[in-house]
Amino acid sequence: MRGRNASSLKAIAFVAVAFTLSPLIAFTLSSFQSTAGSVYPGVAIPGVAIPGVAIPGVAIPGVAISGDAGSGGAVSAALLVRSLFSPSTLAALKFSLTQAFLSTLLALIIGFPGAYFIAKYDFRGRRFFLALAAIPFCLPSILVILSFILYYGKNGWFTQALSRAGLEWQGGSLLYSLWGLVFVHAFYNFPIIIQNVGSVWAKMPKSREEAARTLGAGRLRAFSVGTLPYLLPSILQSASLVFLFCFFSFTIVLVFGGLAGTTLEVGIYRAIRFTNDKPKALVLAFAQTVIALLAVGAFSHFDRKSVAAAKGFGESPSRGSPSRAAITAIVAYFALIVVFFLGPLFALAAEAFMVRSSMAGGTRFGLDNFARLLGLNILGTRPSGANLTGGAPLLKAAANSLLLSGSAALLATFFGLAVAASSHYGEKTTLGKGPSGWKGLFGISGARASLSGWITLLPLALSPALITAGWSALLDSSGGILIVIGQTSIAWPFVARSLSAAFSALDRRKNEAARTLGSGPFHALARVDAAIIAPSVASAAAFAFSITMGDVNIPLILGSGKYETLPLLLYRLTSSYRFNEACAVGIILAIFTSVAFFFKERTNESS
Amino acid sequence: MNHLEISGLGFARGDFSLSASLALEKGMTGVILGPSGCGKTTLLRCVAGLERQNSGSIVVEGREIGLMPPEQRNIGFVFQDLALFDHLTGRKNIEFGLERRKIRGTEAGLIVETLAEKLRITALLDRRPFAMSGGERQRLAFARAIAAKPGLLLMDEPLSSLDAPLRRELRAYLRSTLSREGITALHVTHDVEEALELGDRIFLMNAGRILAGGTPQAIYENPPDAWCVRFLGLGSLLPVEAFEARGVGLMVAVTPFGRFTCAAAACKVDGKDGGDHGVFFFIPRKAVYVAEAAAAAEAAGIDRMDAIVERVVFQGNYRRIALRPLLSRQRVGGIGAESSGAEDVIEMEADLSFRIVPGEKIRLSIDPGKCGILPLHATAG
Repeated sequence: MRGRNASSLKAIAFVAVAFTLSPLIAFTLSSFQSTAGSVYPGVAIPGVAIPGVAIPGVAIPGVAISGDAGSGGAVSAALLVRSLFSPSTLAALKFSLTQAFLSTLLALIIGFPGAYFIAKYDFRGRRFFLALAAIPFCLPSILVILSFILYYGKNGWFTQALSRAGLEWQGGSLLYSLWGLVFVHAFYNFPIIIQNVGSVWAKMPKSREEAARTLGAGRLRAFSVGTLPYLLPSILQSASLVFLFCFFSFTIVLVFGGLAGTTLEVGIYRAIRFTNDKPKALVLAFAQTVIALLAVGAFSHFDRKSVAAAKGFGESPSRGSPSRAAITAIVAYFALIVVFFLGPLFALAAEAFMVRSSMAGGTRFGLDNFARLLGLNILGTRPSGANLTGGAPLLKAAANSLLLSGSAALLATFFGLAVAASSHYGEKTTLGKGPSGWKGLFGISGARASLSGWITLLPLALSPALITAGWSALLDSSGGILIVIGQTSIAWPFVARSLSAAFSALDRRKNEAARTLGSGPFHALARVDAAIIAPSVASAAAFAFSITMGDVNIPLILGSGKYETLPLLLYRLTSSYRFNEACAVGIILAIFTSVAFFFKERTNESS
Repeated sequence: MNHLEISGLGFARGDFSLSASLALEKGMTGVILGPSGCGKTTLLRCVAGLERQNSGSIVVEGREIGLMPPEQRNIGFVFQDLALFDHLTGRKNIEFGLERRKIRGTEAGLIVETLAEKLRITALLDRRPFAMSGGERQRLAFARAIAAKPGLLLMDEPLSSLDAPLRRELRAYLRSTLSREGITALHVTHDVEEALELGDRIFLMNAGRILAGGTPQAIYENPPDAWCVRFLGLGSLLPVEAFEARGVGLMVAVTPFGRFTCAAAACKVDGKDGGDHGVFFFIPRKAVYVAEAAAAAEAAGIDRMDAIVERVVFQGNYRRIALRPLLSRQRVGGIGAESSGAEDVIEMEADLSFRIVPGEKIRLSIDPGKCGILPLHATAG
């Protein structure tokens, strides 16, 4: 038993190290290339492909099976295979797939009308729908969880409003079922559908549909012939992305899915944290990576298809002002979003300032929640639950968060920039304009669908829990350094993706213009390329900060109570049903994580 | 001595190969004219050092620059998409090149102000390029390229993205600035009108080869091959079946539409290899009604050709008529217009007083001084 665990540990540690170092390997390999953008595919391919494809794909099963010296490889392999097909693994697999599939379907259903509206009409509030797309990336899942509990829970705003209206609704328990999980996931991710499908739809000329109409097709037939085939790749692209996010969803499942079932990621977490069954963790991670690779492949494939379909679009049609019927539909849709999606967020903001007094039985507004978290004793109220909020937990957590997540964001920015830059200058550069900022993350880009696209996508197919556990085993520590490493690993692929989009929008001729004006290659790189990319780097860094600040998974997996971060404090307050104080922490956290959003909005406007 | 001398420049990538030699005197504007994909931009980029040629030399002001990196070549380059630095103001864009040549502070400021005044862009200096109109961006890109007084200015179709009136305006502006500042420039375009307006010298380019070079007039008077005639729209072409010398310094070309006399010097095909007799090139000038011709007892057949009017288009000062020539005798098989490179419709200008309707038959007379026999494709000169 010990031997098996030791070899599994080695495997986990190896994967973690290889994964975390892959940006450095890629960067080193491709730095052999000239900076002028010339093509050396012979170097670029191993530089990008080895760390990106080979390590996660081969190392996990390979090292796990062959690494056990004590009991012999065959026994170890047999154990792993048996574990792979054990009922609990299969149940977790089935539940992961089911919830991710249903969540994606519901997100599509919710997002599709929004995509239609932003593609076809100019109306007040159009920008609002577009801005929603930042939410899945900038709003930490822990905040979504809290707000949905406050809104849809047993005593939630929505539930109470319904019961006041005389409707009996068992929403509170529904929230903790498969359907509750699907509901939360769908509302968390539908803006991705609006953004990605809507942006392609907006560029699609009406002529094909009109041609079908003049040839005698009805509205529906014309849509299915003239629009749907060109829209389908973008629908599938965003669907595979949403699927991937839901498939890896951790905190939301941990809180809401607990009673209904366990996803693979939660299973990995339990195997590492509670049952200490490393082979089990490895097997679950393997199953997860295989499925996730399929989703990543689908994403990449449909991304390229979307771009190919959009190539023949020609000039984008102009958007009309909506008809009376369309206005009604948009207003109804807007109301739906406000009631079901923004309602919970509003509830969270309001609850942060609400003080429930158990003696008076009433509720008033005030800053007491914040004051208690800051260790202040205002209005003579005694701080309760000193075990949780002794001293000034908010300040301590904020300081920890800023230090650890801030460092992780910086490191992630460095790694992401290294990968994006090396793949840009290593691969054949094509002129083109891609989306920038968070829209460049998983928007329809196509430009980086090849090798460098893969290296930034593949990490999404790896379990953060496993990576973190691997580092933990390797360093034999539970300190803050592990939080930094773990959060760096989850954030850098996002930085690299966003910067790859920015790099692909870089016009090579501007560099050439500087050369003809007397700049040497490095001066041109610094004064032109770097200056043009700089706002994108800043925005990617802000985005990385958003991710690392909001992350609760890594500290949870590490169980490092020593370093309480803001999300961890929020999680623990929520677990102890101290919702108002949790909301107060949530407000502070939201202020930090939304920095990225506002940053991007500003840079988008200036370009 | 020539200011710019490119000799034996060779460049190859994939299926495409380029081979070019050309020379330009100081203060002249040379225009490389050719269809898209002919290699003219590649040639320009080789001169700038943005592509590395495989062989040959590039000499500017007696200095071999062929192996230098672009920043050491002392050139200015105006890109097709202008490649302005949107993150810098107009002033900073212009100063960029000065700074690299160690011109800074008040001296740089003075140069920018003077240049801006001359080029009428003073108002643009404190704005960013993305906030400028198409014409303003062109002027700024031009100013940026010439600010440091480069030894050679290279322009890669900078006007191609503009609409017609603005393009005409900027062409005149460019022309006057280039000659006033005495700039030696190499300009690339596919637009014949632009080449005629800007070029002191024109280098006609096709499929990676320079076919002819010289003043616009010389090229018009002495086109090297049938392709040039078509590309420049110089005149009409007929297939040649045979030709023979007649008298002193004269040549007669036998075509399915008649026999035509031209100067022996205007015959650029030797005809010895039997197959290719070339193409008869002429500028149709004079047309008369057949009835009048009959009255003057002119017979079709020698230096005359009968044709049916296909289309008449009013053009303001004149009418453009399209004619289908009539065979002068029965011939077995088609005339093989595709393989011979000759057109089966002749276009010509006619005076407004020459009243004619489609379907009428007219007779063309061809001036022996304005015609010749050309090869289909000239070997690169």
